[in-house]
Amino acid sequence: MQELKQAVIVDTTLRDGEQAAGIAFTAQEKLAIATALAQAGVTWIEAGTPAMGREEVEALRLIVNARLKAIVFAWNRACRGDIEASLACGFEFLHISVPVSDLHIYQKLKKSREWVYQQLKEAVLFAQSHGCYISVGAEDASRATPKQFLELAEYSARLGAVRIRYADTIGRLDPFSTSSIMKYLARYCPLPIEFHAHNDLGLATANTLAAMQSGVVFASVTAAGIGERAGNAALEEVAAAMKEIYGISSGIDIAAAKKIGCQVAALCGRNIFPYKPVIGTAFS
Amino acid sequence: MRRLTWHDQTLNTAIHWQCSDRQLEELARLLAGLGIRQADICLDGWRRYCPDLKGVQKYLHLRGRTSLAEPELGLAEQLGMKGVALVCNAARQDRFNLLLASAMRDADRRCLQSSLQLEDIAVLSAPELAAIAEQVNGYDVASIIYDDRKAKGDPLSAFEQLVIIIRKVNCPVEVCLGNAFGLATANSLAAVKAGITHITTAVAGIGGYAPWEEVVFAVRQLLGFDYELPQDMAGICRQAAAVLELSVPESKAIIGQSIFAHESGLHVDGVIKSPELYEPFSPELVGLKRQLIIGKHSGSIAIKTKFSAWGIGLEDVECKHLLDRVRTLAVKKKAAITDTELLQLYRSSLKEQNYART
Repeated sequence: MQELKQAVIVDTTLRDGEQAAGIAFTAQEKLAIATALAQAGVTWIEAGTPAMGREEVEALRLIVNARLKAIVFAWNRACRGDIEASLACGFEFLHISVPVSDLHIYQKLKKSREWVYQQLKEAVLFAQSHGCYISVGAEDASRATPKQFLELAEYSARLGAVRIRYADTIGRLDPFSTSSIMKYLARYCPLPIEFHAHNDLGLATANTLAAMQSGVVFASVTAAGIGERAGNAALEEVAAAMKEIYGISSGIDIAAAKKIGCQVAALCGRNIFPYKPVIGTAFS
Repeated sequence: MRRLTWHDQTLNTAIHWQCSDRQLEELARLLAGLGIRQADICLDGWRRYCPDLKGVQKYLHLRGRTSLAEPELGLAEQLGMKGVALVCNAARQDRFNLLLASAMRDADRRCLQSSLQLEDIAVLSAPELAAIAEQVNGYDVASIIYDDRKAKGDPLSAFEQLVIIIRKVNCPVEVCLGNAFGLATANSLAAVKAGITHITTAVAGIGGYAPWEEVVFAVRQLLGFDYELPQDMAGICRQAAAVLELSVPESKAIIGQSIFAHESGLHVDGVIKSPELYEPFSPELVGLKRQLIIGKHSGSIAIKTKFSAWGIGLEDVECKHLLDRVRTLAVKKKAAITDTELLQLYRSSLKEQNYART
């Protein structure tokens, strides 16, 4: 068996998970999920997107003020308005996301790479002037070249960011490609990498584990794997696989993670398929 | 290009759940519609209520799975099967050395081909695998089946193990992989990459096996297999699950009804500009449709697009106002906003603005 030595879970149930079409948590539900995650041993919680407006800001203030035993952070685009909304909630750690593939920069934003860098710089400096720590998100990284990703990572490191997220935004990787790309990136990247998988081909958990085996430390997951389209890597699957296959602890209480998976599914109004890995009745 | 053969387990689960003869036949017909021609069924499970499988056999070739220690070969013969899979623990070579020859003689007498299904093989080391291969080569088995139903393997190690096994054994090698930790698709992909052509799957992962639709799609997309997908693949899979009274989860990879539903501002904006920005493949490929949903995460582009389709041009300030109301309502009802609700919100906000003016 190939080794997997360590992984730090970054839960994004409340941000990317909730972004799945048709899902909306109330402020109390968001607080309850965040609290349960912190109690289960999750140390990084991406709690939401303050720029979404009043309801979200209220929910996020509740979570920030709960002083959970986890670092709770907010998702932002690289623009001043988003950062201001996050600051108003009281966040001290911000995730700032920018696209890194040509496709997303030129076709979606219809801007240049230099423009993206400039926006990122202004956003990061502004947030830092308010005492925030920053992680940078490289959206659509799996359709960018490794060179483009590393350039962004180097630029972010110079700005003082502490981590960079590699997002497989449309879930196009497989464990073999993940492994070879991540071995290369982990070696040359000046910042710790967080791997963010999507489950479009049913490979999110496998890709996440393959990234962890290849020198990536942070794993982005959601409870029950909720998220855009076919969802993200599931918290309970990654934690259970680490224990049962590689015999190492993710620091997460697996029974608690399963319970959170079931509760989150219920809050989304989704029945759990009996053959859903780890939390389906056929497996539990 | 190699041809892949799927060994279905959906039917086996339906038998385990004691579906009626008619349901089983309907399921077999649907599976055949997906291009699945083989199914493995557990003989012990069949014996519990002895369903008539003649209807099923119009569509599928059946192979019986039975324990090597107490092989129920008479049942396989009675059911008109051509082959059996004899299940044995991989770590117990002494066991199959003791039993295999006599089971094979009995199978031969009944005109059944014997495959050897080795359970718990995923945890064995390379030398252990080599030793097993050497033993197996002493028998004329139709195939050996790498059985990791307990899901102890990962794709990188499964690949390495299978490369060794394929090189060392004289007969074809198949895989049968469990999905307890969500790795069955990745492990099946690893198997195909290693050269395996016979893969155990089940529609939507029913029974805890590799989800057929994911494996078929992954090998096509990632390994370049020239595999023609059946029309309305998602629909047929849904019908197959419905035979077992199961609904395919809406977010199920490849076939879930909502996997092309977009709500968040960023994604809707992107998909309107160019679907490939946020869609990994075209929905039509699997018989699904793109949907734009209005909800808590909607942005102004989505709202404006909706209203312009209704012939209403929204000003920025109107749109922002409406968006606030959309988010409040979405959180309150904890779900997406329907078109009717959206129009109601628009009308009531118009009224408010009129009051404000007077």
